[in-house]
Amino acid sequence: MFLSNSTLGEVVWTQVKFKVNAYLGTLVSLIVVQILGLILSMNGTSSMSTNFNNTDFQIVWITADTVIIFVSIWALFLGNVITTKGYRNTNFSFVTNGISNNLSNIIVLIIMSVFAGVTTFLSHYILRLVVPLFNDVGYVKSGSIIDDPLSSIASMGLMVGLILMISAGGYLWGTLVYIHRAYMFLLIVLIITLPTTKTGQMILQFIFADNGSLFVLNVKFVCVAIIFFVLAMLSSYRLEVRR
Amino acid sequence: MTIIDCQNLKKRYKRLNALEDITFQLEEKKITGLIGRNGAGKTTLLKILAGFIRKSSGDIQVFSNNPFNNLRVSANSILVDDQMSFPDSLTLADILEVAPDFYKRWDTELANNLFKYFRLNPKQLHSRLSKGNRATFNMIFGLATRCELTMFDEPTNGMDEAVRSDFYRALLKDYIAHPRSILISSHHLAEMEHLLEDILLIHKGKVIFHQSLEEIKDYAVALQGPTDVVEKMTVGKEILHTKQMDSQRKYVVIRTEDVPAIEGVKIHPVTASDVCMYVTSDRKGGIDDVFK
Amino acid sequence: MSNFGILSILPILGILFIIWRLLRLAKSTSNRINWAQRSNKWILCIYIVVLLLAVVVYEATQTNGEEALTSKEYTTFINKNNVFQQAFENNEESKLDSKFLIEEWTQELEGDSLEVILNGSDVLMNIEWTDSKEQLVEAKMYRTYSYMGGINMGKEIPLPTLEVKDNQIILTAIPQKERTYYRFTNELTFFSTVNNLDAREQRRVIGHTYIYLKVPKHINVIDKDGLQFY
Repeated sequence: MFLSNSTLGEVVWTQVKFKVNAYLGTLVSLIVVQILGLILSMNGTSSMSTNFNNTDFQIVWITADTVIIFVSIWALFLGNVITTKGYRNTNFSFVTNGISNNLSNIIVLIIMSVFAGVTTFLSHYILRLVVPLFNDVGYVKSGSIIDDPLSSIASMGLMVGLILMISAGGYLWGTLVYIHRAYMFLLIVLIITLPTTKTGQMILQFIFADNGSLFVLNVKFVCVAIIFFVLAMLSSYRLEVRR
Repeated sequence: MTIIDCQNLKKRYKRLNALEDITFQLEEKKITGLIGRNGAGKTTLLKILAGFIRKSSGDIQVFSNNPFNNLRVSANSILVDDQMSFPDSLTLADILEVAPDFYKRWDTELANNLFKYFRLNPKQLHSRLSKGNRATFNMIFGLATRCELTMFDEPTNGMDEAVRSDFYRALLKDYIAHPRSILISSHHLAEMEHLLEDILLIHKGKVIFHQSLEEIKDYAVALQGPTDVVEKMTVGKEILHTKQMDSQRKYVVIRTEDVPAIEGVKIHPVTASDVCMYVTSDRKGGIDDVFK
Repeated sequence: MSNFGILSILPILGILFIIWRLLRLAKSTSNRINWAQRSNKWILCIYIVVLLLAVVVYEATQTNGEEALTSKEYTTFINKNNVFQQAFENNEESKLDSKFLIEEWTQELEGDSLEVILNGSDVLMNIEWTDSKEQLVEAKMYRTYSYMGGINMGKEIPLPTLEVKDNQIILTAIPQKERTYYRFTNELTFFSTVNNLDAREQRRVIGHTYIYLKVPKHINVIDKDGLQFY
């Protein structure tokens, strides 16, 4: 009798390759979401104006904020959808176990978050080129990658971190709901209470506000993501498939 | 070598005992039929063996490992059933392309040849196949993995007559070329009798017997003759099945033993399929009795 | 803050719902169309190429446009403006920074009065009385730093015109206008340490146009528009 012995690493790697290939469609949906966000942010995210010498002087900031909100929601759904029954069963049609399935899902989410973060950052340049075509107004020379590479990389990293954290949240959510539907209500209650109660606000404030630098904030994002992933792995260890 | 070792295996769902007490051992390189009626626990047993679901109690070893969440078991076993699913983003051809990454002994040639023979469309999506074609594709997938433990759960569901017989033929040929342990569950034993070596009959979550096909064929004997003679002959014996043929004659199935030849009573052999049916029957008499 | 929390969630829930519907729609359509994996790869490749091209093109063509400034520069601007304002109010002509000077005139008055007509222009004016017995009036126009969001407003917006005629100083405001500038940033507003509202306020320097007059004491200045003299 010949038994093939696959190590966990091999299986995870094979699963990652398979999943990235199989989930390419989600990246196409990401593009749609980004374009939607880009269209909505053409009018600017925020503005400031003043009256000076009889002239109404207005500066409109065009940022990636709208796009990142859209992409975050996409990330939430992405994390959620790959835990659903269909996707789980699909994964278990090939060699895998609970751990390798979780690990490969997490790696796929990381890859997709990096892709989403970088493309979201770069997609802003489409606005920079397209907006002047539609508006006959002045433009301020704006910080770009060459001018300020460090802060550009920092904000790209921040986008990746944010998307990763949210997709991790979606993943944990999906895993819990897969275990029991009742978690759905629990999570909705949690999401509503978090920003409306004092303690919840304190937690949010601790994580997201009062950060000395973007780097610290990003590290916090990644830590939260790791916590979400670990919780998801622990809670799904005894999960059955093809029930 | 023992591939599967099951000791007092139990599986409970919320209200239902799917498996009550399963004890058996499966030796390597044999084709075994897992036979049982609807709801006997065949599917549950196979899913536990494949490591998809957990046992409730008892002991189970597949390749000397507990199969649940075990990578070694997953890499060396495959369960082909109608719940098998593949991503909608991959065509059938794509699936056959990625499979060798997972299964080290994947037989690309066999897969491609069977795929062509059954005229499946390589650009089709798995979820959009007809029931029969999906079963055919799953079967091709299962055979091509060459897993040491290959399990089929009702593989011929939805296949038409011609495909069924082709399937059994393909299974047998491939088994002869590459012997491995194959476990096929089905509720119609008759059509696959010719390829089975052993039969594992389970009923209501318990193993009724685990024997070779020959032994099962010799398990029971049928007596047919005048009612009073037959009844006299079978007094005190374990009656597996009775049927009133008409007002005078009766058909009784009993455990095989030396029955004296009596004028007017014919002795028939009982097919393995019928044996399994009678043994797992809860009712005395048949459907005819309902209409009396 | 509590109300703010609820209010900030509502639009997100709305977007969530819309995206959910969109995804459902996309799923049902993709079930009907066999969206081949190959085309997915093509779409992704094209998109990435477009993004990279956008970056390259932007970097190559962005030379036009105003220079954005650092917050440090803003601080120095604010300080210099304040110093100027102080000097201006205290009639210390010598301390007025000459780099703010835009125009100067001297005018020989005929009568004993000088009329200042503003015509809606927004200027600050100060008069230094001299002991001179002559009819000579000196006028100097200054403008301090005005920057907002990286734009030199002083450069963008023309000054009120100033005309000195006989015994009149006539200022005329430029016609009312609107000016909009777009500014792009790679930073996210809600996490940015630089780009939030407080920080933006720090990036606003509103300077003024100043007119400094040197007038002999015996001359009567007529100020119909009620200018504030220091």
